[in-house]
Amino acid sequence: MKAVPLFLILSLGLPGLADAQDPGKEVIGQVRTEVLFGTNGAGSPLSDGISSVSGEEKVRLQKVTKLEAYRNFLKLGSVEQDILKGYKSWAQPLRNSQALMLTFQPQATIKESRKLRLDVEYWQKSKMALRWDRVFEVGKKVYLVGPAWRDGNLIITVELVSLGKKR
Amino acid sequence: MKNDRKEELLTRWMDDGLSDEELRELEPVLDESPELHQERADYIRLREDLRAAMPAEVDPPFPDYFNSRLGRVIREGSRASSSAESPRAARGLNRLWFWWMVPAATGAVVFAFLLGMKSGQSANPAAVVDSAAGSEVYSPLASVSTEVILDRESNSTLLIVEGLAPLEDVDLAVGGGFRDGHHGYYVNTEKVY
Repeated sequence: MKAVPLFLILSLGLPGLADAQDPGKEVIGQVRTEVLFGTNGAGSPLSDGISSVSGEEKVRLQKVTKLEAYRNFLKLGSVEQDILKGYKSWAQPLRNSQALMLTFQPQATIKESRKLRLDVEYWQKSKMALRWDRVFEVGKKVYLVGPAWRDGNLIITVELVSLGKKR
Repeated sequence: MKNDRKEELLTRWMDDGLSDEELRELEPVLDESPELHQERADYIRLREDLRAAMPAEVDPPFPDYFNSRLGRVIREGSRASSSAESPRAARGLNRLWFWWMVPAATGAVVFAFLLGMKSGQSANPAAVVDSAAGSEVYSPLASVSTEVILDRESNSTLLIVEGLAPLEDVDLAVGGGFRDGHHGYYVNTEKVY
């Protein structure tokens, strides 16, 4: 009779205890990653789950020479996730696709108020295509104007949403 | 003997780099501080240990990226040290640093040399494709080039990447419709590196 509760305590309790003791799992911020699509098409054939970006964001993107020809900017997918102090976090902004992924690795030694230095890697079709080491500031979006797709261009955005634990 | 000259001779003495004449010039200093012989012996032992421990050729994961980041750390370090304390305190500190840093500096030079040998053979000399203030961009793909644009009006940053392979519908799994993604794995980097 005593064996069952003891087994349960060991199997359920110990992993939790290990997590609690891992300082690398401390949540130090949240990052949102989005995939946008600049196109001259309407976007309607792309099925459900897409939306247009704000007018302000559209104007911002159209300032870039490579994107100025596009009339529409659509959001194809996004993901918001925690950044853990001692872990590299993988983001998959399009639910069904692993062809386009990002990783975030914090450099906790250079942490400033409302800023966080991150190593960001852009992976395309299982290959690391780019690594970017920069300071991210809460609320300031960074755009990566990436590969061509169909008649347009994909744009990946990264935004440090908040620092510390999610409230 | 002037301090600058003394320090120069001592540094080269540590590395067996003195001529007979210079050695004679340094002898009074060594007689005055016999403990320097022990420090030199310790330093030589450390140097030999380092040589034995380090491989003849180092293959870092991303040498150009590593070098660019090393450069940044050095720049930040020199900025910090230039805004340091009073000149007098700095002089005292410099003397201490001199003795403590000789073995460390030698190790760093050996490592940088080995690293440089490998980096110099890089097939992609423009691998660190761009850098802006406080940020560096690296691509292992020779075809990729980047440009960083700071849009002051919206206070945002744009990284324009050229040379990426275009994606196909099948890559983005368009058939299933677009839905928000989800986070992938968390990889413990403290254990990996």
